[in-house]
Amino acid sequence: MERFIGNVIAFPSSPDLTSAEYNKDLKTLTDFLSKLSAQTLAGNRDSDPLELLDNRANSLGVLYTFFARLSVDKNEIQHLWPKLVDFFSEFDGRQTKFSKDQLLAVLKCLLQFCDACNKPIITLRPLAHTITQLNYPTGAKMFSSLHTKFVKKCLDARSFRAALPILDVDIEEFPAKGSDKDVTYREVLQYFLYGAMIYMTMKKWRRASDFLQFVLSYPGTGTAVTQIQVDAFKKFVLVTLMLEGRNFQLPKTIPQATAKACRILGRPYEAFATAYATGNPDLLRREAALVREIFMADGNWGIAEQCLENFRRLGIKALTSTYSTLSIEAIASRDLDVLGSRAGNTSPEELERYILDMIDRKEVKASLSHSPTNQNSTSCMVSFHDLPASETDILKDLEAQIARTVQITNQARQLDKKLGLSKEWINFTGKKRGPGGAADHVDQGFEEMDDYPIQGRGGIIDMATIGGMVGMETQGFHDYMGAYDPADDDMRPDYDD
Amino acid sequence: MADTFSMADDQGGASGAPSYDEYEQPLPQQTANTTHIIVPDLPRFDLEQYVGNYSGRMKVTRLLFIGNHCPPLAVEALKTAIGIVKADRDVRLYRQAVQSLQVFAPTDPDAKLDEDWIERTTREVKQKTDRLEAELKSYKNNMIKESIRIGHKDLGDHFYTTGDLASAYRAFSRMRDYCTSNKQMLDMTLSCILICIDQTQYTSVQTNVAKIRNHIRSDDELKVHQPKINIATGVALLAAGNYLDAARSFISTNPAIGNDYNTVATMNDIAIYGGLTALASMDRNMLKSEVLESTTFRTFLELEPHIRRALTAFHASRYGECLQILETYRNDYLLDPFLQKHIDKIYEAVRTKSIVQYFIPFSCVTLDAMSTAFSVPSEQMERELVRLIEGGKLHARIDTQNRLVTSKETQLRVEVHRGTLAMAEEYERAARLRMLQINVVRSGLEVKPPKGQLSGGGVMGGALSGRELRGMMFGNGA
Repeated sequence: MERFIGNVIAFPSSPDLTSAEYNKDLKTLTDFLSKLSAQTLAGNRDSDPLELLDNRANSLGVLYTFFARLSVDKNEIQHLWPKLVDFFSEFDGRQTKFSKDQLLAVLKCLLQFCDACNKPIITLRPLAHTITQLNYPTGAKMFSSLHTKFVKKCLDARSFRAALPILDVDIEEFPAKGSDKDVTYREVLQYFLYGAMIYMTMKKWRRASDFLQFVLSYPGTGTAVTQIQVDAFKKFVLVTLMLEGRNFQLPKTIPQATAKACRILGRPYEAFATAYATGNPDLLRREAALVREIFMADGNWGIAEQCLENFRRLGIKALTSTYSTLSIEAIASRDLDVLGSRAGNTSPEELERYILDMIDRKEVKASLSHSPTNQNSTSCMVSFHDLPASETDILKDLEAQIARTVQITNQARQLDKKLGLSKEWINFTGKKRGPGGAADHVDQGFEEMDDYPIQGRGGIIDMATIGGMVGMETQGFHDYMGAYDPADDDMRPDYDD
Repeated sequence: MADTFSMADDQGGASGAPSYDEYEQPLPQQTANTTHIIVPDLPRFDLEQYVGNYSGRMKVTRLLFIGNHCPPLAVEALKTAIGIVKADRDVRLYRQAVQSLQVFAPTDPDAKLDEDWIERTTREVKQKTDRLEAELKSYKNNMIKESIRIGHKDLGDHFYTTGDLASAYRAFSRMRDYCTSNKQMLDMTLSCILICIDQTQYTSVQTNVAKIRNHIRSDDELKVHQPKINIATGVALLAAGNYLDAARSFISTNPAIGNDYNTVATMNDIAIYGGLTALASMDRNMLKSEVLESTTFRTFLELEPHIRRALTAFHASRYGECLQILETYRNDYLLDPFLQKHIDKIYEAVRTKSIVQYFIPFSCVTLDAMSTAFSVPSEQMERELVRLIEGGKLHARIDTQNRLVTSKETQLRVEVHRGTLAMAEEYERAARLRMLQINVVRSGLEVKPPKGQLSGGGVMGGALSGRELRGMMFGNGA
């Protein structure tokens, strides 16, 4: 018992270990802990390890204690859960690197308990912290089944803002084939669909649209399509309306079977979008009444209502490009308020307030002026001004965009390298190598990647050739892989201006 | 060339045995055209003189067209048409003309079907067809190329005058294999073009024109045939709504054509078609350099001085005057079978262009000034302007308070910056999306069909009904 506590507290032996030494020590400690009996780990009333150890500094020891206690008696979760929540919100991911199974098992207990008492909100902090800590040691932005659980819980708890720190980090990788049984296409799709829904509630339409586009263009084998994709399509149509006020365009990357299924099953949405894009308020009102039931059943009526509300905004915005001054009455007569039940119901005063509101939010740049027509009444004119365009602002945006583009190009290049080192590619080149000669297989293989502006192809092609050469002697190949470090990549995109 | 020959032959031979005697084939374009547009007033031309300019079937076509679309002239036009049709022994057109006449003048002696004549003529035509076919057959047995060609030609001419255009086209197409000289080939193709124009099948006109271009070998031939080809192309392009190319085609027509091609269009027609299409599609500078200063087209324009006046007025920025001239002649053009469907579009285009061109030199114009310039009430002017602005054709904004139209400032630098930014964002998004997709495949996480339900995913690619698709759905969304 004392040895257990002593060993755990003694780790790490000094705060400035190199990562290799740290890993070695950690490994020793993990081996030691896993050999201890559950009794020892669980401790007893006199010396409770949980009291003695610190969640942050001795994460590994605490984890093993929890694990042992829960495996001895499942019901202990009733008393342990506040401590578990604290632990999962604080633990150090470096220490638990080799004990992922135990970590996930304990977390699962906690989640089950929270499900049972129907309190999704208490799981949010632990989940968010665990997700960041799991990715911490590798620095990769890896997807895990926890992501899906987390956003689902956020939705259940209706605390959408809490989801943003995780959602805002772009997923870049998925667990390698077969390494994580919990991750299937369903988890991935659900994560992105739920994520989109959270962004929609936060009115971050652009992000939502990106997430939905990913779901839509998710690759499938053969003609397989899932209901998740169809749901995403429905939401995508509405989000596009919200974002740009025009009819949707399916992303170019969408598989044909998916497009077909979406078109067939999402027909009411398409009709609604078409009516919306015509800009004819009567048509839109009629169409909205027709599809209302269907949208409600799908749970999409809320966003459709927002689209309808936005119709008026877009209409008024469009006026700015046609008119420089226009009377309130003339705008009112245009009947842009499709949410109102009948045509011509809007009073000029209400519309005036509405436009003032739009000006306040800087959606249009305009000014209102009252001029007396006769003794009692005044007529109100709206003067639209050009939106000011500050060049410095735009240049700043451009700079930021350039930086992001460089980053994504680098990412693309790294991915390209990884693909070049993958087994499939090596098999492919190996097979092709025979009679065809080296020159044409290289071209063929990179066709898919042509969408990325990768300037320096030389390195990749070399890599592919090396891969092809060592296809037979796997040992040499693995050595090569071990030595490979993306940071060595010295190719830089040339953007001087 | 060989393959196009065989293609044409395939078309002809597709129906198996020659079916020259299918007299009751409907002619869709003749019936479909009837009286959508009615011109209630007299046009500015004299019917007799107008029709006198044309020859061949075009004369009848135009007469019937006027008869169907212009009640004041209908009786005269239809009676003349009936006379010609009877002489041509075209039974089908005769029936049509009489039917139309019955509407306008039921009591007229010509308004009754002459059954005797119909029966007699049908028989005579049939006899002649049989005779010609028999001759053709014997020629074929003798295997003399030239005789076979002439046999086909006689048959084609016979069908053409008696109004069986489809059979005539087939007969002429079959001549192709027996044409020995270039000239014969040209003649045959020209006949085909003529029939296509009569049938209002303008895409075939264009394919035939393409064929004929391959056969023109010498400059002399070019000189002779170029005008006809130009006119045929022009008419086809006009029908396709490609006004700019149609205008260029008409304008480059050599005036030496005279009335040689009055089975399609007279020189006056060419002036009108060319002038109107040019007005609808060219800007002021192009009008000057390509139309008003064209040496060939000047001759045509002299025949139709008002078109010339309209062109000059447009070029001199007197848009109101130009539009007025066009409006005066609207009725005439509505009675032209080639122009009728396009006249509204052409006038619309001229109007839009006038407004846009009018506005170019100004940064600010009063609405009233514009409505005077285009002689329309200012409300209508405003509506028109709004439509143009919303359509993105006019870069201006309307100030309803002071009744002004002001031009928009364009900030090119800012626009370029915005465009770049948008493009870069789009690129970033697309790149991220694709990389995610690749990673999905790399991790083997593609959507998979449920085991046991589908044998092979790819097999079902073809026609999936909604129900089948629904069956394929699985998994559970939100």
